[in-house]
Amino acid sequence: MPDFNATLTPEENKHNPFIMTGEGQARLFTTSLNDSPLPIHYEPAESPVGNILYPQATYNPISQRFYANHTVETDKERENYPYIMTTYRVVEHYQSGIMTRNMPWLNEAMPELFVELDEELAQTLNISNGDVVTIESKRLLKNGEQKGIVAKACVTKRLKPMMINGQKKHVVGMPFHWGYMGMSKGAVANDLAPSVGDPNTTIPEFKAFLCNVKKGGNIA
Amino acid sequence: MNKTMLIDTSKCVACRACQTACKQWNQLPAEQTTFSGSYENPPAFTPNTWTKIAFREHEENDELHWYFSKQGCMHCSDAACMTVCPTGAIFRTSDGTVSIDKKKCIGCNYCAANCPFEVIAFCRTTNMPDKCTFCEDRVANGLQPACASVCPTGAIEYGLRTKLLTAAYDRVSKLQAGGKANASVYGASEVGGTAMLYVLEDTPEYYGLPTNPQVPFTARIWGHLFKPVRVLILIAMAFGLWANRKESDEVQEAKESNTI
Repeated sequence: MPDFNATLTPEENKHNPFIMTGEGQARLFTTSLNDSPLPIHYEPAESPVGNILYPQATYNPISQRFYANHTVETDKERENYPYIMTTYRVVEHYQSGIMTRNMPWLNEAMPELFVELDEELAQTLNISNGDVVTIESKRLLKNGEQKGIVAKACVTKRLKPMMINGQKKHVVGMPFHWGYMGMSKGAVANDLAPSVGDPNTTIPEFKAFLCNVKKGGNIA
Repeated sequence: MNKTMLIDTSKCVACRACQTACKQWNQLPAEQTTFSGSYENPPAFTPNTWTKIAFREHEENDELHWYFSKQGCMHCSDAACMTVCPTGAIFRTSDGTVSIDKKKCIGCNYCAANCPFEVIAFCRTTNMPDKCTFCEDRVANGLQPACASVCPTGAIEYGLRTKLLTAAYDRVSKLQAGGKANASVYGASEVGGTAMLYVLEDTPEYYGLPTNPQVPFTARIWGHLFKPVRVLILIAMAFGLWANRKESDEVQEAKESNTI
């Protein structure tokens, strides 16, 4: 964890800035983390491709899991959820939005939950700007019935399809500030996300998982 | 024009603090909006939205730009709205900005129809135009306009025009040296120079600003040719109506006797 020592100038601090370690240096080899001693590459708990580096372990084997059969792990399942989802924030709202979604001026600027799609994907799915779309993930597959959440589509040049392991993969993104109460209501984006925590801090893997996007749906 | 705002789009992060601060100071209520495919909201200027951030995506040579600009009344030196206003309700303040005196306004909508930047919003319920006032109430009391006072990145600067013009050209030359070949100053000479100066990283059209804003020709004809003699025209019209009163009686009689 790099940080600055408040009692030293940046110039004095620059050769040992990692104040959380005794020697002030970053460590590659450590025994204090649950997945120590050396950092290696894992794919997210739910990944469109396997781990090229370590085919025997796609994701971190000691990541913290709370439910069985929770994530997409086989290629057959991946066909049902072909897109990579990432979630993020918008500047107008804060966290679950319970304060900001009750501010009329902020709701005016960012009124509804939306999902951002790249232009190529939007064309394939025949989705245009402002259309209502349904987003599905394995978490909303309950008793064999696939449910989804609805949001407005935002077709943007800012997202581009990625070439991952020789395959073209589309990334979609949505903010997670909405909920079922308040002046501006919307679906909960994190209903889609897996409950998988990282081995050391239990920080959930909400930033990369798999989903499916369909045109149409009913905004409640 | 003494007081100017310099909007440096290369520093703008689109936090929309200016948009909200404008509403807060001027006590403008929020609007019911929907998400229509862009972060830009409300989609247009209304009597309750005097300034907003325009979001534009532009892709060139596989390089993507997301351009933000704070847009609103430009307070032009050669103001089309002022030229066409038949009652003098739109006037120039001592600071050189353009303001609307609603007591004089007759709600003719000429100003909104002729604005080259399409920033004057006309309210159909009150029949009144509305636009940015350059926070004249704040400025008169030695404060900055609300939008400039809240900008977290210094993208909106308020001050003397001469000073800010130099700053704008300095910034543009820095941007050009940094590889933004099309960077330019906008508002230095457009429509006689505007109180809103922009530093743009690219050509104005990519920001949704008109490349060559002009006062409409019809506005000039009306403003300079007919407006000065409008009282005479009104008298002539009244006289014409009065003079033709008799003929209309004849038409009436003819209708009654079914001759036509």
